[in-house]
Amino acid sequence: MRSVGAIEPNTELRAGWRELLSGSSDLVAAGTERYGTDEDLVRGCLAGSPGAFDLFVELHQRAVYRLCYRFVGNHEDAADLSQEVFLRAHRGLTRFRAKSSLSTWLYRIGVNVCLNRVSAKRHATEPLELDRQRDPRAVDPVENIDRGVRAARLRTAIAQLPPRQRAVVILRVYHELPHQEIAAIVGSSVGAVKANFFHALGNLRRLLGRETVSK
Amino acid sequence: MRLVRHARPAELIDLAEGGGTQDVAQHVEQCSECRKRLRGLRTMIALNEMARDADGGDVPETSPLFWTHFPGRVRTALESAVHRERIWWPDPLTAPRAVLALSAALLVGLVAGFVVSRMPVSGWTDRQGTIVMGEAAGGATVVDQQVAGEGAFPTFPELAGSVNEDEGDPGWALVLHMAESARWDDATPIDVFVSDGAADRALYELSVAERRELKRLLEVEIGATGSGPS
Repeated sequence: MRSVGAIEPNTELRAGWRELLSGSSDLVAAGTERYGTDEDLVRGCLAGSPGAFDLFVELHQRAVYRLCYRFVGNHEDAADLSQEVFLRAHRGLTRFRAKSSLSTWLYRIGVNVCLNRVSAKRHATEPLELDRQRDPRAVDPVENIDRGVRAARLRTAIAQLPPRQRAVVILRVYHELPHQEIAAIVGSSVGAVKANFFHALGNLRRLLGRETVSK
Repeated sequence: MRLVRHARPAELIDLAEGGGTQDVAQHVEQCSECRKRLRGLRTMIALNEMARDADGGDVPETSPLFWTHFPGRVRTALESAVHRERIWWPDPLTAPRAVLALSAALLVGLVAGFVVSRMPVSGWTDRQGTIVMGEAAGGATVVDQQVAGEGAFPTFPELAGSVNEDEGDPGWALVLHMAESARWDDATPIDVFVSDGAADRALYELSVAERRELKRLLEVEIGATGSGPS
């Protein structure tokens, strides 16, 4: 196993970062080539290799942001929480043991950060943009509004679930993670995750009311 | 093998997601209660998936600039976090003299405070709940109300008054503010540090009685540890 200090700064990657930050493509792929595995990337970050931690952020920022947004429902808080997730990840990099993937490890930090925040504060969710990015001629507008309203009510109902059930629904339905990975993230057994999911769906059904669900 | 109980939550979830065992599936076909539960689960999963796949997804797309600047934002936050840690934990190797001098001054201050609090007061003998007035060895007037049965120490009104005045003093507030944000690394190059002999000078500030008590305490301590000159 290579030592942490054996990693040399990659000048190509450093030069490429300017392009990456200006919106060019293929550089994440270049970084992925340079750091073939999660462990390599973590080692690069710990060694202070230029661009390594930026690449780490770049690779995972969207997934982390989406997770945070689903917990808090607005951009400002989601951005702040995402930043907090990466700060904590940076502090905890020495403890990453590659028993799980880097994304699973980050999700675990993210879920903890989000649950801490939502338990301390009630968040206002942004109003749903019903007609966003859609040609109004393409679908029945009544159906469109109906779907939008139901999605908004569902989001409000998810926000009222107990923390663990909320985390499981978000990770299972919205991030489409397998039960095993969710178990690793929330620190429980697969059976417990499925039971949480079961109870969460039952609670959502009650919160939404039979009328809405049966439409 | 046929189930003789209702399907468990985890088993129903497996079925609702398209998995599950044959035994559970057969049971659910024949059990109206489990069938009802399964139908409810499937409806809710479908509703959630509909919300997830709604126009533009459930998370609005953010500006591309946000993603461009986000790694830099994290980097800046990391740097300021490191900076804050440096302020709170000065490197003792870079400011050893200042730290040692400050520690010595603090020690003397603590000893002096202890001495003052233990100082005998002339005329203070009444312990039966009456107001006692007397004069401390340093000349301060002592006014205190004793509670019967309690050996409370006298207070020094002049000293208490000066502390309160300091707290309201804008000059003192400025000094406090500057001290809070001061860094040893920045202060040392411009010759702002606790000078040599500060502890000695603090000692000279003690009154004769305080110095006598300090001497006695030191002798007791040296006698107890046996570390004094033979």
